Amino acid sequence: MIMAEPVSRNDSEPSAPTDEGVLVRRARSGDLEAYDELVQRYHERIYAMVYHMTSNHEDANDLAQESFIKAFQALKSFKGGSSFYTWLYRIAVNKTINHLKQRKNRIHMSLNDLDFNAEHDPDLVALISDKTPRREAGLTELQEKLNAALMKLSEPHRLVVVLHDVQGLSHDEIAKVMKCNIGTVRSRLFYARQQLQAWLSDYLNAT
Amino acid sequence: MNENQPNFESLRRLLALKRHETPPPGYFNNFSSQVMARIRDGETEAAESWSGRLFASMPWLMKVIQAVDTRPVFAGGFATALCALLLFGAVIAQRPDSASTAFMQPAAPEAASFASATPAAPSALQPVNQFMVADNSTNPVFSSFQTPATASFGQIPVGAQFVNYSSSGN
Repeated sequence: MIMAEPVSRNDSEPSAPTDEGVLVRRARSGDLEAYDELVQRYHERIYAMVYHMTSNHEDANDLAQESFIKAFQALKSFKGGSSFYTWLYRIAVNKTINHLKQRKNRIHMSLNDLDFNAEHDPDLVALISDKTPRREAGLTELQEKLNAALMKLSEPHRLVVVLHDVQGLSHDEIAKVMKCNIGTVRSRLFYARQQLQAWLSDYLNAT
Repeated sequence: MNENQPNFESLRRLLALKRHETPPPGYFNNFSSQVMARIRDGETEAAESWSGRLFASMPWLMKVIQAVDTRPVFAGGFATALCALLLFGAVIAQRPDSASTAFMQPAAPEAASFASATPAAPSALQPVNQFMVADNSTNPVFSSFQTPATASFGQIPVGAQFVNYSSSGN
């Protein structure tokens, strides 16, 4: 299973935009079954976002659960100005950033294992090529170095990289989630990539 | 500032590795049931019943707690201020001429002047055990008699000898 595969809005939402609205209305009136369905629809993506931001499975588990609980409690305040998906993401992002601020300088990574498909991913196969200076590095080492480099970024910069390059959200969606304009998203993404590239230069090939 | 610059290509490939980090098998099978159980139990409601109401009534308190939590220098400053206050209080309490001492012994100055004006008072003529007087903190009048230095104009109020004033003498 590939977690947090880049999300295309065309794949994730258009099939049931009305269903989501109905589910939200039912959940708002206290229908727990409807809310359970919403949780099952989005739990992987919310968990993945929190996990990639914290690099810690236990924290991600707690924060993802709390985000869904908080969203349920705040459903009455959900006006529908944005999609439920964006609104839920915003709650999870705020919770995660608050958590990270409180735990500043107390970073403890608890990384999930790589799935079986990692070794066959064409991107990774291409990465570990003859041109890579540290081509002897295994995937696990790469994973640790990558997570450590991500944790060195500030929270807004890390969030942009996670949402765009890992989860595949568009600039527009990221701007809505982060409540900033698209230009800010682009500049943060560019700066974050530059930083990561500098820190991980030993593990990137020279193409 | 073109984000599609080719020099980010290898970084993009490396970031693909993140998508292969997966939680333990079966993790998501129980996720929603755990969330729903917590909602049903009202776990968060109970947790927020007192704190939530407190923070709702005093939103500044949350800001103070967050500031202290995120910036340890605030917590250190508060602790230092508290220690300084305690130290100041201890020093003030040990000073004999402090306001608090005067407050605790309101009769002492009057008693001292009384003692100096009446050197032959019977109680003052008797030798006084200073340690006993010192222990007797509830009677400030006695404590004033043991301090002849309080007598004005260098008089010697205690240790005077009895004088015989009888007229049937020489």
